This record gives sequence, structure tokens and C-alpha cells, in this order.
Amino acid sequence: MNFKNSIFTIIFAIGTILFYGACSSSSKSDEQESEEHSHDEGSDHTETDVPMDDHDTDGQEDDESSSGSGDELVWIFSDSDDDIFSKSFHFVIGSADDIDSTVSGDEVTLNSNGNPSTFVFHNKMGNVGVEISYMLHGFKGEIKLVHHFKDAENYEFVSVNGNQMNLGRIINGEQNIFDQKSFELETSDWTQLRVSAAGSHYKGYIGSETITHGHGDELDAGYVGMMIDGEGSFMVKDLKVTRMESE
Amino acid sequence: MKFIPEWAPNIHPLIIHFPIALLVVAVFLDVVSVWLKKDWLRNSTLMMYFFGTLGAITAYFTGRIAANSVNPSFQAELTMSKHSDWALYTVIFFSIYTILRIVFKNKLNPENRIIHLAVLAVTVFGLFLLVSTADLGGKLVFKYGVGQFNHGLENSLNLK
Repeated sequence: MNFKNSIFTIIFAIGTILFYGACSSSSKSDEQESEEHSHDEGSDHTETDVPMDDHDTDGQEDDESSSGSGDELVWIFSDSDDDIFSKSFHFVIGSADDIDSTVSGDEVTLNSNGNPSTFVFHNKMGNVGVEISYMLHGFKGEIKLVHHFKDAENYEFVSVNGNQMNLGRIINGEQNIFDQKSFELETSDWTQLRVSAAGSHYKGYIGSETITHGHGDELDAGYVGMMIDGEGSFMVKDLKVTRMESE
Repeated sequence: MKFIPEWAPNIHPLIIHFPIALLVVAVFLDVVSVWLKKDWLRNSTLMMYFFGTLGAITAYFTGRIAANSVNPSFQAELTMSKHSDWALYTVIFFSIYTILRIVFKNKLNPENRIIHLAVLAVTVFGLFLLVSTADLGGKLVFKYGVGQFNHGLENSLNLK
């Protein structure tokens, strides 16, 4: 190999190493930035920009509703609570008067009067996982787990209506369904509904089975909670929200 | 005889090694062919790019199917989402790159080392996409246990 060839080899090798190094550090910076953004979002609960009502989202109140970790929120209630919602949630559609609740141990029976209602955790979140177990007791209508909730006309959801699951989003009041499937509904037992919003990928699970899977642009962080649009009662337990962190 | 071994959750993990190996070797042969100007070497390099790209496309689509057959933890979902996105970028890159290399096979003068090195520099970007995709895939399996039957969710929860 002559001198000229050696120079070419060295330049190419150095260029390759520099390029790969630059790409790697850029990728890490993006992830760090994303992580910092997530942490920033974690402090959002002290803000008072709650849509559609003037609920005071006090920081101390949020801590009581969480499981102790900033990455997880759990609906905690007890049968001694006069209002099982206000510790963990604020209503963005309807009010607590639209839902009768009866607590029994770690389960709560919700009885909707037919007026649509939506209650969300106080914190805003971006990439998020939501899970809940429910059992229908003659409830007729739609139960939605909502996330990236900005207001009643801008949010994403996974809904169940009987044995039908829809996954989609509403932007400026216009509904866009990414995926819809039916699943085997167990009426006499608990059904675990899980929702995952990771980047541009959205999924709805029943138990460990993926039912719906869709894709869409990533939206700004928003509130996470539950929307009830129907009449009758159903039981819920173990409502938990997990923030997904970039690593 | 089963096509997929019983220990494999789906066909995706059996496919992914082909694009990784073939495309890495393709780039290696491409570098060698800058100095070793042999027709058989240049043809072999193009074949490697072609079959490596076919492997990447197959891996991408089997991965999409596999994603709906596993039950990852929420934290693993985000890694899986990125893995899928990077895989798509890799497939798009190598599909376009390989087609262009084949179409302009005779236009790339082997005597012009500067152009050949410039083309190789573009390939390095594709290699970066491939490595990033593989890295995220490795994390899914070895950090979060995704696809390892029922151990996946349990392992990843223990990590938190």
C-alpha cells in the first residue's frame, strides 16, 4: 500500500469514528433532553392551567394521590372519604355529582346518571401507560381511558363499549380512529384494560393480549384519566398511571 | 416439524441476524474494494447490500407482527416504539441506497477513489441506523426480557 492509499485509509477511518461519535452523542443529548422534559412535566401539577374548570391543582394534594414515586400515579381512596375523586383527580367534563360511588375495600362501584363525565389526574404526562381493572354491572355505554388530554376537543383515548375496543384521538373535535377490534368480554370477572402511549405508537390491551395498535404524531403532554359516557354501574379497581421515561 | 423452534416466541429473532451480518460485511467489502479493484469483489458487495436489505425488510415486517404478540412492561413499550421507528428508518435508507448502487453500478468509476469514499461515508450513516436499531432490540430482550415468554413483564418490573 503506497503513501497516498495510507492517507485515504486514515482519513476514512477518522471520519467514520468522528461521524459515529457525533451521532451517538447527539442521540444521547436528545434522550437527556427528553428526560429533562419529562421531569419538568412532573412539576406541572403545581400549575393551575386546568381546562374547563377552576380546580386548584395543589402540589401537596398531588402527592397524596400518588404512590410515592413521581413516575407512577395510583388512585387511592377509602370508604371514609366523602369524595373519593378530589384527592386524586379533578373533573374536566361533568362533575362528581354525575357519578354515585360506593367503596368496598380496594374496589369502587361507579354509577353514572348518563351525563358524560371525565376526571383526570392532576399531573400532565407525555409517554404514558395506564391500567385499570373493571367489571360491568349492567353499564350501558362507553368507558374511555384518556391521555394527552388538553380539553374536551383534544385528547387521545382507548375506549371499551361492551366487547368493542376503539383506539384513537380527537383533535379540534374531530375523531380519528386508529384501530378498532372486538375482544372476548368476561362479564362475571374482572377485565384488565391497559393502554400504552409510547412515542408515535399507541396500544390497547385486554390482560396480556394486544387488541388495538395504532400510530400517530406525538402530541404535547396532557392529563390522564377516565371518561364515562353511559348509564348504569360498573366496578373498578387498580387504576394506575405509569410515566415512561427515556433512558 | 415446526418451522419456529419452541423456544422462540416468534420468527423475528431468527431473522434479525441476517441484515446485521450481511450489511456490516457489505460495508466492510465496500471499504476493501476501494483499494482492491476487482469486479468479483464489487459484485459480491452489491449482492451483500441486496440480500442484507431484503433481510432488513423481512425483519421489519416480522417485527411489526411480533410487537403485537408480546406483553412488555410500560417502560419497555417506549424502547419498543423507538426500536420500531429506527428499524423503519434503516429499511428506508438501505432500500434507497441499494437500489441506487445497483442502478448506478457502472457509473461508479472504481478508479475514482474520492467518489467511492464519499459514497462509503453515506453508508456509514446507514450503518449507524442499523447499529442503533440493533442496540434498542438488544435492550428489549436482555434488559426488559421482552419475548422471553412470561418472564418479560416480571423481569422488567423487578428492574424498576
